Amino acid sequence: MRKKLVLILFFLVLLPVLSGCWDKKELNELAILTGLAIDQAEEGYRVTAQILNPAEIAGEAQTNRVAVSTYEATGDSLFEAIRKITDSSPRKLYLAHLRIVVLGKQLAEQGIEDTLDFLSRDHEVRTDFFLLVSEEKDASSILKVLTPIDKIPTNKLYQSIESSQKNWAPTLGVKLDQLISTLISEGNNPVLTGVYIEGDTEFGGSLQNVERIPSPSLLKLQNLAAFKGDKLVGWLTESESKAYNYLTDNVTNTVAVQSCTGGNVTIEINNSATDIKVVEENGQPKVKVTLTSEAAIGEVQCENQFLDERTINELEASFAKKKEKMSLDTIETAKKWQTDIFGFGEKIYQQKPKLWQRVKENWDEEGFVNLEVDVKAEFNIKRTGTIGESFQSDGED
Amino acid sequence: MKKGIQLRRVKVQKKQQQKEQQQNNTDKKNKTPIPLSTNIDQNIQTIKQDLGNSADIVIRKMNIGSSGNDQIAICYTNGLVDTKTVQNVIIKTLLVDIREAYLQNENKSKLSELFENHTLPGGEITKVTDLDNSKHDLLSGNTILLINGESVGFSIDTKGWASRSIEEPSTQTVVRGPKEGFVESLRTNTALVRRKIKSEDLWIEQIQIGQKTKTDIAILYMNGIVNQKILDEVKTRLKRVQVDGIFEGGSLEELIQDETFTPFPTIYNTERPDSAASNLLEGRVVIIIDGTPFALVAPALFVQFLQSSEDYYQRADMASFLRLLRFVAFMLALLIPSSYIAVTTFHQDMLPTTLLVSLAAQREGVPFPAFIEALLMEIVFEILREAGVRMPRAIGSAISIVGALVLGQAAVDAGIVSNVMVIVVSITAISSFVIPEYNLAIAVRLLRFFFMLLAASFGMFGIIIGLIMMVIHLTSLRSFGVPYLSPMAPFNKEGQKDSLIRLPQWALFSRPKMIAQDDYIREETPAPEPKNSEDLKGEGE
Repeated sequence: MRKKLVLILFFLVLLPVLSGCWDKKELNELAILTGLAIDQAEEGYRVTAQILNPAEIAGEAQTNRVAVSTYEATGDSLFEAIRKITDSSPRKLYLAHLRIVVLGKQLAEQGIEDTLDFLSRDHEVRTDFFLLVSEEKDASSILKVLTPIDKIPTNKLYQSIESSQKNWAPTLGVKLDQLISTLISEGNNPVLTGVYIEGDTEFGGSLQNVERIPSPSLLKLQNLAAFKGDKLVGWLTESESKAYNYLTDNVTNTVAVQSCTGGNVTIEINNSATDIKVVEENGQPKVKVTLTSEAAIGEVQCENQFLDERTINELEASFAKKKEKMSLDTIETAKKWQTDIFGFGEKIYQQKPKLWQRVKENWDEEGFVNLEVDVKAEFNIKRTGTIGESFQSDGED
Repeated sequence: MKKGIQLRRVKVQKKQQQKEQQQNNTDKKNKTPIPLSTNIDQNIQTIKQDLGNSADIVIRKMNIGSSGNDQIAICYTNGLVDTKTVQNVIIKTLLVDIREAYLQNENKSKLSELFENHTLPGGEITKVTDLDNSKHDLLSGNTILLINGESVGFSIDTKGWASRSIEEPSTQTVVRGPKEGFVESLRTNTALVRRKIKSEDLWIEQIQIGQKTKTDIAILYMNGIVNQKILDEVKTRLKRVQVDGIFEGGSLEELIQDETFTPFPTIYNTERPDSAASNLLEGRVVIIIDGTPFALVAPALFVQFLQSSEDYYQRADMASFLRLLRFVAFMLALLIPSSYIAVTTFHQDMLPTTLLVSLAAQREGVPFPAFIEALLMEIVFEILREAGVRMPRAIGSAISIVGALVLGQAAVDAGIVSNVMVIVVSITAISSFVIPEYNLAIAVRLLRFFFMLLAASFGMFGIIIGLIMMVIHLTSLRSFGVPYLSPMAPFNKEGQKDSLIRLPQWALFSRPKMIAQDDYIREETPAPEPKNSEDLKGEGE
């Protein structure tokens, strides 16, 4: 008994020596990577990595050094390029905290599938980062801008994607797993949000950028980039992006504006639901989209606008009409690019699988382009805010 | 190789010697007791010689009787007897009151009979006929009365030595509940329990352990509730003990516990009479040792060490919350440093980015790996704690200054340890103080280092392996045959009412099933059903 115990103790003491803690990484041996920009190089990829300087972000004695720094390397493959960064970076890159991947415009036009392989294969990388497409020529420049308020620029991007998606519809946060599942499903094509630098790019990377109100250069999210397969084919406008989100049921909260006599009336949409029904007509699929929204009046500038039941009904109808038109226009744009970004094909597959077997051949080029889509929008204005009538209308004339 | 054999031979020889000695001892025990001589001087001489003329033995010879011809002697140990009783009562009786008895003694009966039937005051008087018994009684604080011409003496109970008065227990303190604690005197302690349980079923058996110390040990149990098998097991184990001396329950505990190679205590100890009494009512056996305020309670369950007697005096909901809190604190005290090591050296991806950044910022410039850093701080803390316990009270405040200021703040400022590590160590320390039983708390202290080692080698995986090993070990433990983890494993539904949580008193109608196996249902008290206020009004009017 005692002998056994001594042996066990002996082995326990040996444990740390034997294992040698082979995959242990102390916190101060890590280069925490939060942003990655991938550009097309002449051969292979040019990768820009944004690495945090923890002492500057959360340390006790903060100096006037920058909170993040970027390192660049070029390689035949993405993995090679990332490993090559160790040439210049003081520590090994730690990929688990990746928040944002910015894809270069050129790369996106060429196709992104090859790029995604490493990101989904590597064990360190998680799938919960957002992918963006740079509207600039160069994705790396996006990572070279310092941001006010949030010291970590990629964190700023991550949070503005989340908040703008929630409160302002024209952007869409796409994470790696979502992107891949859209890519591999039939009858659906991905979109990614675009990002660009507003203002002077010269100051972006220096501390001067955050020493002024307003910052000379700012990172901005804007609009959606439509892909056909894995290739970028075009950019949606702001209203098209919003319509896209309505059609794909991604809106949680946004505002809509409609002009009226003397100004505009703005409503806040709190709840939006999209219902897509596929029917078969003469052997061809037909898609019926119903958009129902719940809204509250947010701002009224109109003359003689009494908020009674009749006017509210009129408002509802006019908003619905506008939304229907917007949606149809967006679908037209997508048809022009011959890419079914709305996933109508997938809906047909889900609801009428036999029909889908007949039409899936060349879906994007033929089926989708000739697809008849019916959009019906319904608005339901439930509240008028904290005041009923606008006080302006009383005082006038 | 040769050396080994030699060593073994030496060991064997020693064992043989021991055996022989034991035989000698048993011979001594079995030899017939030396009877008291009829010659008083010879008796006195023998006693003096056997006790080595010890300075504290007082022997007083005197002549009594009407004629002054009858010689008697009283012997007592100074300091162990109540001097007032001896001088004011016994000596006065022997010298003064006896005369009357003499005058009335017409039958001319023997002096010893006279003493026994008429004149000797004192509650507990026993006849002694042999020397060994009289010496033993003499050393326990009795007064021995020897009579010339007779081979019979008397042992009069005059015990009365300086002892601590009943105070509030220094461990297991409560906010609400009885504030009295056991003291060093066995008799007082049994009385404290007897005062709580006036039932005739509270039986107290007394034995002596320790070949030199002859320590009195009382075994308390509730006849009819206690499981006979467990009681017999306790008695057999106690009888097996052959040591020179017992001064505290701890040393006795080691001699009678089920498993030696475990950090977990399998016998409960308490300083509180109410806790001892409630354990008795649950069918446990309480062992009170003379000379220590800590009573042993067997069998003990793991959950018991995380319970406080106050749990039964506060409201059930609060008590349940506090119990759960103690379990959480137990886990924290055990796992916080190791989890910190595992997460920061192996699983950085488990942390939110902002937390990772602040932790990384703290660690910038710290020269040691997280494991060494944690080990350093934990060891320093253990040293501080030990110093705090052993130091004279007067310089106690020096420790806190050195500990808190010099080691805490300065170490961080000097960049040797990170701030987070100080927080980790502090949380661990505070959590370990929450565990109400000190002997479980020190088990946690020991296991913590084991878990830190595992975390440093294998990360979270190591911690999980360690936890599994710990649970397997716990399930294998027994306390006097009762599974240590019951009522969790083996699972018992009734037992759940009073282990992790405590249900209201009226729901606790069963005793722990594994302990009081035969008779585990108590009298049932119905839940209170107050009449509604309308009815009460009616009665008033």
